[in-house]
Amino acid sequence: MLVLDIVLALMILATAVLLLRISSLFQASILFIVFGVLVALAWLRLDAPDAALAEAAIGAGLTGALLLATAAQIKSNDADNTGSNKTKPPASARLLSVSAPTAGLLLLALTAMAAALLWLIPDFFAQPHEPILRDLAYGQLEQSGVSHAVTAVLLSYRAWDTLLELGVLLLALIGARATLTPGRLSLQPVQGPVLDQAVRFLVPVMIVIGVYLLWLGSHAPGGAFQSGAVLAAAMVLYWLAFPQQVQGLSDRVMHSLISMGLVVFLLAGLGVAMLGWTFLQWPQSWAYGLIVFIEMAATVSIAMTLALLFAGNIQTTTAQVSR
Amino acid sequence: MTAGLFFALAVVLFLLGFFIQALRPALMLKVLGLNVMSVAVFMAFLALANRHTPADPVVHAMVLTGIVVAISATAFALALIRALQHRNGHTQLDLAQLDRERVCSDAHDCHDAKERH
Repeated sequence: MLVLDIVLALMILATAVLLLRISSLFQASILFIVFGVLVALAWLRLDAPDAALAEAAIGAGLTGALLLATAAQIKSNDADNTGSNKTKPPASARLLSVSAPTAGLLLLALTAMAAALLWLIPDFFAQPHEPILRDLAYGQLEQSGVSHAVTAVLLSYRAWDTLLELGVLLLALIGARATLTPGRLSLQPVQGPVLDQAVRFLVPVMIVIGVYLLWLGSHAPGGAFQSGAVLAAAMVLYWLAFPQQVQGLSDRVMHSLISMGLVVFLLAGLGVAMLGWTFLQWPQSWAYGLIVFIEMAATVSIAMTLALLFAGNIQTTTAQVSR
Repeated sequence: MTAGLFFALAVVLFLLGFFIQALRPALMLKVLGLNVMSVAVFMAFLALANRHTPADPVVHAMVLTGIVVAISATAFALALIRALQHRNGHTQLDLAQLDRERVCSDAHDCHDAKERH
């Protein structure tokens, strides 16, 4: 299996080196998706299936979709840029677009960072410390309400971090929507039957898989984030095939769906605090039910937020949609 | 051995990601470079967690949180890039160009700078 690991590592390295040299935004986005999938495989080899699921769905899939949409929009806006008061874009994509002193500084930074980081590598093979946190996590697993350690860490021991993480997602969506520009990407559905029929088959399957991943998280790798990412991907696919549906959501529905996760989580935490326990301390008999309930709300929010982050720059006009 | 290999890869990826974002003038490629750096950090964490059996779940949860935060930041950065494209017509950060256009307080210095470039 070491051969597989070496080959995987070399492929990841090759993809990253290519990213250093490519200047086409479209090619770089595709390369990044490849990079993300290879990295997910590497994490499977590192016995981290939850992280691999999340990286494949979120890091490779959704980030890739966002990058491609942005690349397309930058290109199309560049094409209509004929105004004389806009700055002329600088020359090309030379590898070294910095002046000589800056290049010298970068070289110095390279040497210093490389020295510091490469020195870490032999340190890695030294005797590791006692895994105190891991033993604690597994030791208290029955009291947490779930039987999968990572889910217990996310939603029981470190529920505060997950609450804040939902807040960060919401903040990113607010920020992205606050910068909506008039020149949005007009999405025209791809002509022909392939996308249409593929989506009609794939979207129901992805919904089932997404819901299954949510339920699975209590005893196996899975959980709210992976589930939300798969559901978001299903929505993105659906919108790619039927772009007129993007505007079918009313603002009120949208706002309640994206804030549902954070609000439910916060109310649950405050509720147990008012009932006698501390903030976010789930009583053992209710822990499983509370965690599943919070995860359901969080999944809806995560899916909606991630899908809206993609759809934020899609504009459809009835003239262009010829269905 | 697997963990050690991927830890070394993570170190190299971190350096590569830093240089992708430092050297490419296109803002979107800088965002890509930052993402590569994040992935490298996650890989280092997971390699460290893999030194024990069974693996450390706290580190896995941290990486999961990190992945979600990374896509939030990336999505916001891409929205800002789209806004910049709309405002400026381009999304390149050419440091040499910025050096040439830098505001100087001393007319004498500006004059010399203009002559050099």
